[in-house]
Amino acid sequence: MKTYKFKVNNKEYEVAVGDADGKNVKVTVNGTDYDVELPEAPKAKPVIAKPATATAAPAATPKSAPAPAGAVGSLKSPLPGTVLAVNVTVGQAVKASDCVLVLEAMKMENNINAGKDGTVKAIYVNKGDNVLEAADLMLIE
Amino acid sequence: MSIQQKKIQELIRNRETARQGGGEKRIEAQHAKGKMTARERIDMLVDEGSFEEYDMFLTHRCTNFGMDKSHPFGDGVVTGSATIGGRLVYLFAQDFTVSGGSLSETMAMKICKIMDMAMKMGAPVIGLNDSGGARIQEGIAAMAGFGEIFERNILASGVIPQISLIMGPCAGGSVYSPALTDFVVMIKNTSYMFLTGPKVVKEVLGEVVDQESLGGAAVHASKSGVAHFAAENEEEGLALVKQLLSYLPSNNMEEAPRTDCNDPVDRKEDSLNDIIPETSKQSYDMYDVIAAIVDNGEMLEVHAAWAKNIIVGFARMNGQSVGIVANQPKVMAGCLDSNASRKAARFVRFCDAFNIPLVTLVDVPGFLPGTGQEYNGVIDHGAKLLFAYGESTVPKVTVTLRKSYGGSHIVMSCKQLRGDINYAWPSSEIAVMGSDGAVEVLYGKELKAAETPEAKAEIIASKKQEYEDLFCNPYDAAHKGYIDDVIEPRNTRFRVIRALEKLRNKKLENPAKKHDNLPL
Repeated sequence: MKTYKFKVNNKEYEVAVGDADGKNVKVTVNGTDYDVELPEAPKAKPVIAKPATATAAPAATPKSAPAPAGAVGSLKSPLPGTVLAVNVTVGQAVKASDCVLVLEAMKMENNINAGKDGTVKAIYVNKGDNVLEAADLMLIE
Repeated sequence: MSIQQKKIQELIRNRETARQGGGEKRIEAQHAKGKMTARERIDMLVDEGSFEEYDMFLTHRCTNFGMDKSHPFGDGVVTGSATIGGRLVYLFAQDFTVSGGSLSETMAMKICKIMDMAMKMGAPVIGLNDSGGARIQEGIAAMAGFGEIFERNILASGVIPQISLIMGPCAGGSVYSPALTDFVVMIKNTSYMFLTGPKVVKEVLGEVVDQESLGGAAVHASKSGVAHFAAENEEEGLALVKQLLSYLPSNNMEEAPRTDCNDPVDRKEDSLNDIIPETSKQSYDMYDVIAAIVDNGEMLEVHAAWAKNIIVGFARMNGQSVGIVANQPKVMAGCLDSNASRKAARFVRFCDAFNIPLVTLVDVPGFLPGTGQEYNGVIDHGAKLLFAYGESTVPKVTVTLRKSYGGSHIVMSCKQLRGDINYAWPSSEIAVMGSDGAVEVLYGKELKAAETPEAKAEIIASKKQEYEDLFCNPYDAAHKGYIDDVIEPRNTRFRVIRALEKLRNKKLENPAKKHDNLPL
C-alpha cells in the first residue's frame, strides 16, 4: 500500500493505492474506497540508462520559426543568441548602417545593422526568441 | 655600316620587337579591358630605371599544333630584378598579349630562374599574374612547369616574402602558385581566381554563376579569404604592394627596416581611459584603440573584409614594424570562430617567420558555439591559432583590454604561450568563464532546490556578484603572475613601445625537428 498526498485547488487529498490484483486496484481517497480497473496490467519495466544522444539524429533544429522559402537574401544572424530588441517594423525604410535588431550573444549586446538600404518586407523573429547562427532575422529589399 | 654595327642594330631591333609583346592590336585590347601591359605594370611598381630584364629573347620549343610557326620573344612573361624603395626585389609579369600569357615549359623556366636568384640573394619575389592557364599545346610539359614553380614557392616559403598580384584570369593550376605565397592582391572587376570556371560548374553541378561571383576580388577578399587585399584598380594594387614591402624584411635573416618616428613615443592618449563602455555588454571600435597606440595612427590591414571579428595588420611602433592582432568587439562580439582563427593564425606565423614582433590586443568573449562551427572543425582551426602563438619566438606583447575568457584567453597570446610581456587594463575580465555559466555550474544544486523563480533569481544575482567580484577583473590573473602589470589605458602606447625596445635582443629557439605538425 502506497500513500500519496495531493493538493488540488487548495483542497488536500490523501490517496492510498493498493497492490494490483490483475487489472483491479483498490484505491482509497480521503477514506473512501474505490475499485479501479486498469486498462492494462502494469508490467515491470527494466530501467536501463541510455546515453541520451544514442539515437538522436545529428540535425540542427532551429528554435525560431524557419523563414519562408522566399527569404533568399534575407538578413541573417551572425551569431547564435537571444533577440533583445527589434528596432524596426514591417514597411519601414532603413539605411545600410541602421541598427535594426539587438542580439544578445557571447556576453555582448550586438547591434545588427541592416547591411543595405531598403524597406523591411518581413520580420521573422520576436523579442526574446533564441536564434541560431545564420538564422533568418528579417527581409530587407 | 661595319659588321659589328649591324649586329648592334640587330640587337636594338630585337629588343624593340620583344618590348612590343603581342603587338599594338593586342595591347589596345588589353587597355580596353582596363588592364595595363606587363611592362607598364612593372614600370609603375619599381623604382624608375631600376628594372633589369632577363631572358628577353627566350622562346618556346613546342612544335605541336602549328606552334613551330611562331616564336615570340620572351614567351609571354617578363622577368627580372629591380628595386622598390631602394631595396632589391625579383619579379615576373605575365604578358596576356603574348599567347594569352599561357604557361609553357619555357615560361616556367624563366619564372624559376628569378625565383632561384631571389632565394640566393635573399630578396622578395613578386608575381604579376595575368594568364589564360596552361599552354595546352605543350601537353604535360606545361604541367611540369607549374610543378617546378610550386616547388620553389614551397621552398621559398618562410625564407623570402612572396607576393602575388592577380591582374587578370588565374584559373585551374595557375591558382596554386599564388595560394602558396604569403600575400594575394586581387584587382576588382578585372581579375578572378578559381579552380574550375563557370562553364564547368554549370556542366557538372547545373549551378549558374558568373566569373565575378565565383572568383572575383570581392568574393575572395570577403568570403573565402583567398585574397588578402582587394584593390580598386591596378594602380592601387601596385601601390599597395610597395606599401606592404615597406613593413617587411627582405628575408628571414633580416629585420624589417626601421623608419624615423615623429610620433612621440610617450604620447598619452586620454581617450583610451574612456573608451571601454560602462557595461561589459556594450561594444566599442577596436580600430580606435589601434589608431591611438600605433605611429601616426597608420595600419596596413590584411584581410580587412574577411572574418572581421578579428583585425590583423602591419603598423609601426617607434618606427619598428609590428604585426597587430586584435579582437573586434563590434563584429560578432569579437568572438573567435573558424575563419577568425585561420586568419589570425596565418598572420601570426608570417610575422614569426619574418622577425616581426607581435602586439596582441585582447577583448574576446570566447569561441563561437554551435553546430555550424563544430561541424566546420572549429577545434582544429582554433588549434591553429593556439599553435601559431605558442611556437612563435618573436617578441610578443599582449594587452588585455576587457574580456579574456576560457579557451580563447589561452589562445590569444597568454603568458603560458610564452607571451613576453602581458599587460591588462583595469577593465579586464580574465576568467575561466562568464558569470552566468559559472553560477549555473557552481550552484547547480542550490538553484535546483530553489522553490520559486524569485528565489532562484535571487541566488543567481548574489552568486553572480560574488563570482564577478572574485574573477571578472585583472587581479586574479595578476595575483598569479599571468599578467605582468595592470596599466592605465592612456599609457598603452608608451608601455608597449618600451616593452618592444627591451625585447629587441630576445633570443628563443624551439627544439630541433624536421618540421612541426600544425593541425592543418
